[in-house]
Amino acid sequence: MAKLSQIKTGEAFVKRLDALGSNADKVAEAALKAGAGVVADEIRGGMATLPERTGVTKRGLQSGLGISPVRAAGGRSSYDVKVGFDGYNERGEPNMMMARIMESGTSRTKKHPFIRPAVRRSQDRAVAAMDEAFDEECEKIMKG
Amino acid sequence: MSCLDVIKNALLSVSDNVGHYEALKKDPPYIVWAEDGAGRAVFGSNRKQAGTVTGTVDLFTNERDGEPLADAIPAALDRVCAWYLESVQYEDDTGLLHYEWAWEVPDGEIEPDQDW
Repeated sequence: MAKLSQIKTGEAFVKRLDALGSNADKVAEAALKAGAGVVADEIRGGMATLPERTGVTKRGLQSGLGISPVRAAGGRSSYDVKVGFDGYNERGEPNMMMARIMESGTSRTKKHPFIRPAVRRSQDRAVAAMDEAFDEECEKIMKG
Repeated sequence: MSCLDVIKNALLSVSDNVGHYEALKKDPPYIVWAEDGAGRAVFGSNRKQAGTVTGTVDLFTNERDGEPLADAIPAALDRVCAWYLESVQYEDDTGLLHYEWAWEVPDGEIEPDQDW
């Protein structure tokens, strides 16, 4: 016959579990930022391999690379964060457009993929960083 | 057959204007394909046991709607590899529509008609 084990917990422990739930936004933000940071660093490293003539595109991409704020979606059932390019380079061209041109190429410009390979290379490390950040935040909350 | 020949042959089955790394003839519609790195790998006994190669296929066409290759290419890739549509971009300066698919195949030698 199955044996039912009862775990007795004090009120303090239950309060800490509640705190964990009510701090979900904070925990999610820490985890996603950690993962996004790993991916962004890898993309930045990959930019070093891009060809350059004047360096305008490359400088624009380097200054334009960033991480968006963490956003809760679907009534806090999921969270997301984006790594991308913002702003304009010295020629007034959108960095996002120049990133796409480098990544995918055009009929006039040969492609130089640097985002997809960087995401692929960093995927496992990003997940590990997110796990670590998640555990750290949970531990802080549980310790009160 | 090498894993890259699988991609090349799949594309040649739908068009003869297929270039590797660069366009063969820049006469739309034309296809350019290239590998760009390694995908996931599995290691064991101190060596790589299995891995994949990744890359892209680009189609440049004048047709805004109903370009037959826009359907024929993914159908051909479907028979030989995993793939997804990466982007569709309209080029203002040339009027060309640019489709881009990303693909992934197991690396190493592949038997023709190998059952995945």
